[in-house]
Amino acid sequence: MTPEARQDQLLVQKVGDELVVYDQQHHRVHRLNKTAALVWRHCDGRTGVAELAALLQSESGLPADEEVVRLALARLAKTRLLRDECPEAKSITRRQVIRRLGLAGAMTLLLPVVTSIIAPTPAMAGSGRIIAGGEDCGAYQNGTCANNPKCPYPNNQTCHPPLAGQDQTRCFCTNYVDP
Amino acid sequence: MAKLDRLGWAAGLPFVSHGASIGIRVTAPAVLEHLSPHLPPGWKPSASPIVEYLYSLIVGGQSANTNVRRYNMLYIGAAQLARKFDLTEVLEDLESSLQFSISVLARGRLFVHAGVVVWRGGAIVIPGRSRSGKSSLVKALVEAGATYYSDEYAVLDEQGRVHPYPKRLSLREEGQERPRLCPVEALGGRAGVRPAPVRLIAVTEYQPQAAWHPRQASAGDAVLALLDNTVLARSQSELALQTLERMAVGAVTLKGKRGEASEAAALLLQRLEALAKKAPAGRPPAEGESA
Repeated sequence: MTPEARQDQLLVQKVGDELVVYDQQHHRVHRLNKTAALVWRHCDGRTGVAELAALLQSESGLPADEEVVRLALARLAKTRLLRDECPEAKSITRRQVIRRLGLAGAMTLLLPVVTSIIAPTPAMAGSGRIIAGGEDCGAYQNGTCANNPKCPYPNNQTCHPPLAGQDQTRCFCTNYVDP
Repeated sequence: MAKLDRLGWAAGLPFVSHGASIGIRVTAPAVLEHLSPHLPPGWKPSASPIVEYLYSLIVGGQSANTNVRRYNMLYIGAAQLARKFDLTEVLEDLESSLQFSISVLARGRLFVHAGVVVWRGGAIVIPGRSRSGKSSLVKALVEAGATYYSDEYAVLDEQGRVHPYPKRLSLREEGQERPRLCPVEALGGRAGVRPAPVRLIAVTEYQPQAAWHPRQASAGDAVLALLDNTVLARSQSELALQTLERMAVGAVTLKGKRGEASEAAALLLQRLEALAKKAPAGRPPAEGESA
């Protein structure tokens, strides 16, 4: 089974030789360094691990080792950027690959890296405390308050994930004040 | 809301700021005279009474005939934001909430939670959450001669340039629960008026006793750090990605913990000065530099 990149509900932005991918389904954002981006872009369901390794060697200068590709696939699978289960996405650590290939110095920076954040809600990105209005505005599922009804006022942009001390399965309409 | 509407509203102020229309109604007309410093930068009175967010301020105080002391109460729509005896504190809560409302409702601009100054025509953007030390670093940069843009929001246009949002600085002082609001002029600084290109992005956080040895990060790293502080990262994700990419590819990104603000400020200005010398010749003079 050859790896295939997930395409649906993703916004992909090229930033230099890296990619920033916004996952609209899970509201996660991922930065793929050059090597991870290269592997992900060539996961077309037809290209095998050996071919991906050869491609990496020609484009990044890393040794043509399948373990590097498997490390990238493991990172991509963990962040749900691959379609279906990918048996090639072997559980392998960066340290193991460095040791196996005898990489040192700047070469280690070429190894695949995927950095992720949760896309903030307006209040999370704000600078202060949230005063909970307390009105339940729907279920909190998969880290989001998506598909929830609007808060009566001002609007659904103030329907927030639960705070500490609130029911962690529900979202709440909140207001916002700096301390 | 109907209960609030039934109260005797003596005066009101509809205004627009960054394309957002907001109204404030009060029970005591005299309070309107004190509102001006609490309104968001660039506000203009509006002729239309139709607003997106409506704030209601019920003014309390001491009753003339009795010893009863009444609360000042602030609402947004039907939801209560503040209930305090001290009117100044309520007005500061109003100011803070207005800033947030503008960042959510603004048209054609992306609001990123960040401190911003301009030096030698290039902007330094310092993204970060509350209490990461943005305001103190911005203050140190202004005291070192940089032009003040904001200690709260980097307001970005589609080209990735940053626009001034010169609200009063919120300076936290030891032992004080609430931040002190300080106009930039009181620090001997001045506020910018024109958009500026971003040259330096400093992803940093205060840590006592830390010495600042930042590493240069990639533009992708910068986009991630900025998106992490973007107010409408979820609902305007496509616009945010495109705008932040334009901003980040033209800038150098430095990442690392910092110690004292004055030390980090001096190093940032040195770095920006070096970048300004490399800037292409023939471009028009920008904010903070002479023609």
